[in-house]
Amino acid sequence: MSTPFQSTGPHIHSQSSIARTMWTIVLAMLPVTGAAVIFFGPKALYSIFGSALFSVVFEYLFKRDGFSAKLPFGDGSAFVAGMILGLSLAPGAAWWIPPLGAFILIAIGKQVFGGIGNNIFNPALVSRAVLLLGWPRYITGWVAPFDSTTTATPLEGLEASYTQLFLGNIPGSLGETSALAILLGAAYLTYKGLINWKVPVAVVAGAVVAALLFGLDPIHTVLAGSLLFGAVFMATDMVTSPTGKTAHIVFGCGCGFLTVFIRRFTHLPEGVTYAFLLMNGSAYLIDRIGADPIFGQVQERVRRVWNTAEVLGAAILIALVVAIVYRASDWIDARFSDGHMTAAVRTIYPQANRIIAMQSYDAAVARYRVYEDRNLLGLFATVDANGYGGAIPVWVGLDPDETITAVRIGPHQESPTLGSAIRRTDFLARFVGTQPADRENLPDAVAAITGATISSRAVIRAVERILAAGDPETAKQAAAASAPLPAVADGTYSGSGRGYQGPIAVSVQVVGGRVDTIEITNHSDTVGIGTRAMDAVKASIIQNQSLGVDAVTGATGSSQGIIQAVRNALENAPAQEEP
Amino acid sequence: MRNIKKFPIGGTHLPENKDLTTDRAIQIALPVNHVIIPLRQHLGVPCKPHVAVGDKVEPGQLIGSNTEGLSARIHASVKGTVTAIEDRTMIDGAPLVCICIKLDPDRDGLDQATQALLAHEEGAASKEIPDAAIVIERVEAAGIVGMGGAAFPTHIKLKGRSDMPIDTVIINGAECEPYITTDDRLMQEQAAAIFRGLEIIRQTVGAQKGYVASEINKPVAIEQLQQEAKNWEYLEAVRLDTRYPHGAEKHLIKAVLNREVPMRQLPMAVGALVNNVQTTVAIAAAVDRERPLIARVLTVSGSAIRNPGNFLTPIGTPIRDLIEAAGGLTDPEAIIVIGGPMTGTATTDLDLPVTKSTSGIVALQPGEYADRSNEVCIRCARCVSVCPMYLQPNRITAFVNNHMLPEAMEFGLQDCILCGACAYVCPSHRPLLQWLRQGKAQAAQQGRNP
Repeated sequence: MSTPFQSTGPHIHSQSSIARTMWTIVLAMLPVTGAAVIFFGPKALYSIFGSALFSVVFEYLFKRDGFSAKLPFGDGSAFVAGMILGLSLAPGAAWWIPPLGAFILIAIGKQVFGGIGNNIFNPALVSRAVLLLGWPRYITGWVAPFDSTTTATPLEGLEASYTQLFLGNIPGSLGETSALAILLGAAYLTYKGLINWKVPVAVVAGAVVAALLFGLDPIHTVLAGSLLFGAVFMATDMVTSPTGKTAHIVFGCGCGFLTVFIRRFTHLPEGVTYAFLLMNGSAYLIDRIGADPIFGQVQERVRRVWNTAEVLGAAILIALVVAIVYRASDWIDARFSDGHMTAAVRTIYPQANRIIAMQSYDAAVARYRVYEDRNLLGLFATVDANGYGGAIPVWVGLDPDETITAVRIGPHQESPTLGSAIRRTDFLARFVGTQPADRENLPDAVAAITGATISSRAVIRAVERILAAGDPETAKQAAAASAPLPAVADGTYSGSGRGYQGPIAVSVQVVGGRVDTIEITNHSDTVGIGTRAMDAVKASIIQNQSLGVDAVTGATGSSQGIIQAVRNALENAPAQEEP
Repeated sequence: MRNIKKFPIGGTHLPENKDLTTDRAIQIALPVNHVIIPLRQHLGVPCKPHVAVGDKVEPGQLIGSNTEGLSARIHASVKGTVTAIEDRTMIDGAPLVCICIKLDPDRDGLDQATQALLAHEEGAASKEIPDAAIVIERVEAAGIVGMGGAAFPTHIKLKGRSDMPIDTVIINGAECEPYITTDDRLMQEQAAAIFRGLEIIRQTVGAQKGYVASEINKPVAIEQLQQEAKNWEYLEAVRLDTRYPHGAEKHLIKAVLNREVPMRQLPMAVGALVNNVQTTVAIAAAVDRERPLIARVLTVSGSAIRNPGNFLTPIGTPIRDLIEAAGGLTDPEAIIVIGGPMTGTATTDLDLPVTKSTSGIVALQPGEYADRSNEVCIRCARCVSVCPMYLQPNRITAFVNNHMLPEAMEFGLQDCILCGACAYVCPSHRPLLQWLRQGKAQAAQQGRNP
């Protein structure tokens, strides 16, 4: 008689199996497949089932075991992953995307990790991420439902009603558009006990919280894009999500939050792929940290509740402090600027009692919104003009459309005659009504004052800079153009600078207050790249009448050398007498 | 439905298969020619034999006891001659000293001696209950142990601890194992004895309340209990939802009283005491009629049994005799499981005897036997969702299989109650329960030799 012991229980089994699980998921994806066919035509079938079948083929090539006459598709996991990939493709995806995607899915997403159960990242998402990076044009062929015209998706700014978003007759990936079909699948999976309904709900909750924090429409956030599809079919993916109950819910919240974060703060239109992949990577960590208390760990559970309360309390406290600091700095800023600027602002807005700094793309220009209590009076901007005797503060009032309403000149060092000339009301009145778009014409529209050419030109240039400061591109040009040449009397001056390989000597001829010609008398820089650069910089200085010109890429030494030499020459020259 | 109680998290629904035997009245099944009585049928140290080979024994005669350490007395269950006192291999594969008794050809009185367990009299309910000390003495003398499977000596349990007063006694009639209808039949036929036993326990431990809890898949039994409960002031019948494992002590307490027994502590820590239905019947017999525990009721069922039924049989009866009493096997390849199909043990040795804690014999056809193909874990977490102890069996077994015992213990290896729900639902057919048993054994060994 052998040992009586044969085996311990359980001696009965629920009859569940991997294959049964996988085919149930396939069934749950049929509603979204149906919706895809209705909205985007039968070609959708190729993308969805093509991806699935190619995946099965590659799975077979990698790993024969598991396939049998009884299970011709193996355990079905490749079919499910391929189907998810197919459903995440755009309706206009190229014909070769499904086989390529399926290969990446099986090879990189699954088999390199050791096959089913061992992959850290959702294979369908790995494949989608690679396709997105490598062939973005071929997988994001968004078309409108029914008529197949190329269009944008709701996430890219297309207007769509909540009903459209819910039913799914909007452009988007094959499987993501119809919230209704996705919810049908979710209900089936929940009924079959394959997913915990709390996980998709956690994803949606995370997304809604993020949407509210970042000022987005929460309903639109949830319904547009593949968030809901991901919540039901990806966040619940067995292999790549935590196994602990609480951990899985935390994982879901993270997926939702991160998706919206990526949509809001990156240039990617859709965040699901990367958000879910990031969360897949942290699944084990979440599982480890968030292991549920064991039955009977009564104290532990109480402790967890306290810990969670503490963490939440701390988060709320930090948020409060940040909010208070943010508000306070705003307030301090306003106070401070007010004290500093009051006199200047009140020359234009006598009733102003509050100013708030606004974005300026030109560091020299300060721009403010001016309020009387909560009532916006207009904008105020200031910059120092480069006058004959030094800096001239130029104060400009603008209406909210940035049209000039008034120009004032602050205290300056110009001679009394010059000063009174530029303060003439008829001169300053010529600026009124000018808009940023008219900036280029300003010198013609507002002619310089004869007898105070330099001072008045400086004021005109200053106003130009102010008009340019609202836009990053124009601000850069204006800043470059307004590093003015020192005013010198007519004549020919020589100076020197240090080039790339040695000194550069120049001879500068000034005619009528302008640099007329620049002659390079000596240099030791490379003939070719160096000389070409010097010629370009020379021309640029003459054209712009400014030393604030860009250096030539690849020959910075030579460029800077010549700028230095011209400055040196003009500094050597006697100052021009104002007539 | 109103007032149906259950534990809050985990558990699973099993195919019950109780309809095979739920309406089969308890009948007596006697051994054919010998009984084998192991000298340890309880949690603790083995008894020392009080008889020698060749001695004549009578039913109810004390044949083994041990005053050192935890133990429960052993009595002869039949009239006959001791033919051997020797090591026999038991169900767990370990040898154990057994007293083999050959039955006298004269079988007079055997029926009666066996029947004594269930000979509850109508008038017993009104009898005065003796002092706690006397009750405990009689229970000890009767050699009563937990008959649900744990086999913990009952007199120790009744003594309790002065620092942990007990306010509630619960009789565990959940019987959540499939096929087994032992307690079901006892509740149907012996409701009065169960309530009498419960009242004895209640007064002995000084509790205020007593409950008999049963799952709603036993409607006749519940009906009987509710009828009987009307006769008792402090006792009540409680209905439980049908869910495995409601019969686990801590989960029963959670369901009935909503009290959670702290990790690695006894139910006393929350003022509760749990006893099995049949143990309660045995207590009533021991206290009211001073009968030792020499027989028990068990179910012989399964698709491979010709006439499934519930049998009252002397302790020590070989399971072969019981299977014969139930009409024999319909399939010679049938797999015999001693205990329920979830936590029982499969065996090929039909000479193994019935012990005080054997609740049933289930014979399964090979086709319905659990497939253990042990495929890769797909991390579906179904084992986590059914674990009544809120553990992660997938991770614990991964740690055990990779010789990472400290991590396995950190994740609650020792808190596992070995219910097998995880292995039952696993879609990859992984033998999780076996691995958990191995892990617990290793942990216990490490505890002994650190």
